[in-house]
Amino acid sequence: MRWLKFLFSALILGLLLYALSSPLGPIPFALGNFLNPYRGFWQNAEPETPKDSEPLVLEGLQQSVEVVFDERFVPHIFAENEHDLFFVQGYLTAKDRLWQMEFQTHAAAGRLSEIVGPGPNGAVLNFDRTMRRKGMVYGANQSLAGFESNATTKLVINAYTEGVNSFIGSLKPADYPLEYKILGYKPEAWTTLKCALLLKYLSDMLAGGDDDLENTRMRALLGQNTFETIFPDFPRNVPPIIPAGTKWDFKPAIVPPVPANYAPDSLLAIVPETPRNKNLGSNNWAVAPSKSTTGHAILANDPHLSLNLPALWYEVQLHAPGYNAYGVSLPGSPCIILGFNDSIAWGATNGSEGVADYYRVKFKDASEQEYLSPEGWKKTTLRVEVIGIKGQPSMLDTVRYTDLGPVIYDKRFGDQPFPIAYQWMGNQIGNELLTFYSFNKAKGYSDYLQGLQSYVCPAQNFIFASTQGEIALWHQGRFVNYWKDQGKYLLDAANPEHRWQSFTPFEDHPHVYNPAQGYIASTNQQPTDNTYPYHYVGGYDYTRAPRINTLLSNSAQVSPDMMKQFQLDNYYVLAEQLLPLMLSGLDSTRLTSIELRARNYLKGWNYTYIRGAQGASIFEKWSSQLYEDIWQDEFDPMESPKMWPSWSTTMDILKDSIEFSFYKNIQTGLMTNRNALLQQSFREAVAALEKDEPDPAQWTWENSKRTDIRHLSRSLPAFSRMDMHTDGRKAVLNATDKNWGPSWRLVIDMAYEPVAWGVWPGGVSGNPGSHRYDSFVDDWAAGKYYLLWKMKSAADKSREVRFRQQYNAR
Amino acid sequence: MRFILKTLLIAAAAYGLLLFLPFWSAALAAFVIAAAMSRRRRKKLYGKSPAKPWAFWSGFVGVALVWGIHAWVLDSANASLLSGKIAQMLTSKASVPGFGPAMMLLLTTLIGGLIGGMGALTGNLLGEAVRN
Repeated sequence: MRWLKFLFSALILGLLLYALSSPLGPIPFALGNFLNPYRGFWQNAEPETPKDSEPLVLEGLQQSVEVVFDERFVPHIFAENEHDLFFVQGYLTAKDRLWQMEFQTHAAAGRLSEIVGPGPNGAVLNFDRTMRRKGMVYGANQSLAGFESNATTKLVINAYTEGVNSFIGSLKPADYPLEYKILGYKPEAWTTLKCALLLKYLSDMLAGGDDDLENTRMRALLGQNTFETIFPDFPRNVPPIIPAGTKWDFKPAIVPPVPANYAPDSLLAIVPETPRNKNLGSNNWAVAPSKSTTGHAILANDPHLSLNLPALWYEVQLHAPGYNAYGVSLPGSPCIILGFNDSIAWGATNGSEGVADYYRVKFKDASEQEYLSPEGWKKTTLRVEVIGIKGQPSMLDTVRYTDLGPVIYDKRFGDQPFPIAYQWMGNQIGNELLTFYSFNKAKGYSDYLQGLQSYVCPAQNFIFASTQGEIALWHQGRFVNYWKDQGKYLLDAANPEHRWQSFTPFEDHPHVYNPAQGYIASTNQQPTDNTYPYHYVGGYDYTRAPRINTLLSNSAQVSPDMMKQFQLDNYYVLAEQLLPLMLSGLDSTRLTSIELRARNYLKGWNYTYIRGAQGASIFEKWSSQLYEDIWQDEFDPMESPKMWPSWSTTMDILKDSIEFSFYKNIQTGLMTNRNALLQQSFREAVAALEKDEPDPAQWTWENSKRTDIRHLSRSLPAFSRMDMHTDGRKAVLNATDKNWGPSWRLVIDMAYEPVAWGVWPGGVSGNPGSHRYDSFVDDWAAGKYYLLWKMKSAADKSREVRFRQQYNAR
Repeated sequence: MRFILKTLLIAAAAYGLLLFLPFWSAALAAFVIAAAMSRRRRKKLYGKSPAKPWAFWSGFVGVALVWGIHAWVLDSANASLLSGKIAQMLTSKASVPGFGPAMMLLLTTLIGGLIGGMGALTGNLLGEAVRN
């Protein structure tokens, strides 16, 4: 009887322990592990006020390194040599951001299913397959070969990797970052390949994919003329980055002619939607000393990217003999990516041209072992992708590689009867890391130029300002010397003329140095006017460039404070250009009282997207309704992949045409003119607004748009900052949208000792249990800046220090 | 007195093991101490022995203390930042008003207690079974 009691009790105990050590129901973690205060989530509850700690010995360091944490907890690393500098950069970044570093490189490598499962409707698995099929790991290996071919960058990534692994090696299960505990997995060793993967991740975000297949389909469906009308190559009346009329200081290479019997392919490809964010954008501009109140060059930069926590950037100062750079780095990559040193400052905006091309591939037979190339049948390379899936058997995906790159779509992926290969500039060997390293150490313009040479992808507008009073910009990347329209549509892998024949020489890339107008501004608009000898196509900005050019050219002298105001400017050029026309189309005798109130808000509105503006919400609703009324009836029924006309084109059509074929509603068959369309869309927009909120006074912009800074997993609102009240909108200079926005704002006065202000929507730590997780977010949302502190030495006492940490060699 | 001693011994053993082993080591500590300190049951005159529930409670209190106090210390240094977020995460599907940091502490203490209590009860029963 007693034994029976014991056995019964033991059974209950066993069941209890089993239940506590397994994930239950929808919760991915085991409750016993998770709640255990000695190992579980409580261990990630970081003290509000960190304490000074004892010097730490790190195996692998060559000399002592001191790290000073300033009042915002930004680390300033002081090393005696560059090996130790990057070792500690890796160590500290991992300490603050390990989970993010691994998650983003897993995403790049198509390994997310491994940790989160296939996702709803297989969305995560599909993402992984797309990454594999784009050849992201292949591309990262190419990049790594580039980094390793140079002794300096080889040392840099090796030291950084050692540092990251030194931190990972010190971890006990209790120390794992919180997300590992929630998702129930472990950090793996860092590798130099992961550094390359991280940069590839950014490259893919900024320059991956292209509209070739969409262009091909749209042209085939709409016919050449209509296609060219509603999808023009460039928006009208946008000042290019390189000021119009700038004389080219090079003799261009021969631009190949369009092949004699070329006709764009008309394949209606059926490929999976790969949504690319076309609102990606960034600003940078600089004024020369002649146009600045301080008498020095002033530079401003704010890249607009996905808003996430942990934030994309990691602010840090890197100091060693011959090295003193400050700015933001990417967790997973060594060096400062955007920032300044004692002599120069640099910033970047995305280049925005298409640098990926798609080719129709012909296999010899069903075995897919040979494909037709210009030199005849060639062997394909086989790569079997093994995609791990949490809680399920792995999936195998066979990917064939041609000399152009991987076959991205075929009958196995995308249900595409014609195999299509993907050739991407991101898979070319270059050395982007050497560029950033060179910028970090540059003493002046010639070092900056030297650094640019090895840069391949993603193409960027690298702006430059120096303490010598110079300003410059290079539109840099590797570019194909295309014939007109080459790479706009699907190409043929077997045709030699369809292939990339040569690249444009570096000296010929769009650039400008100390322009007469005294300023340079880039906002992802087209880089050049039509005097540029080479061909390119891309998706270019048309609203921010006119605005910043107006602001800069209208100011005789610009101060650093004005530069900040420009970054926070919410004026929408499209509304300025379109709203008067839209209002003129309304027949006020036919408006109801609430419609009249809405019209009055619009009439009194100054085209700025500030929180309290009702006009902004009404314009937003009305213009999107108008857009739908024009295009939706024709475009909705089309099959994917498809493209929608841009707002710039829509506006031009509205301005030019009282009658236009797309105004007609093909469902009702009613032909309608511009005014009827305006009246109708206004009525619909006001009705939609009224349905949600009867009082027009409440139709403020902040009630229409909120900003969510989501946790990287996108599934943990508790670790996110949701529903933030922010000014701005995509396509205004302060491009703060729902999930996108200025990810780093920098303004720097290039005095003898540069004075810089900056802010970013995040915090130093990636730990949701840390008070430093989102500590800059509120100031960022309020448009505040911090005065940055580039310390002269570890002993610099000019400002307050939180604490210090010394790392010693063994 | 014996109850208090047993409780403290379980707490000390659990603390020692938890520093090196996963959460189930708390049950192991309670089990071993309870088994070692169990006594031969005296002959009952009538009814049931009152000793059994005490066996459970010494483990419950011992481990609940070791879990609750440690969590509470970490939570106060953190100003309840993380416990609030975790509470929000756990109730994201079905909102539970008032489920916050205090509830996370309570939940942690109770789960710790349950592990310790069941460990001690089982250990005690084993001890009794062996000794009788």
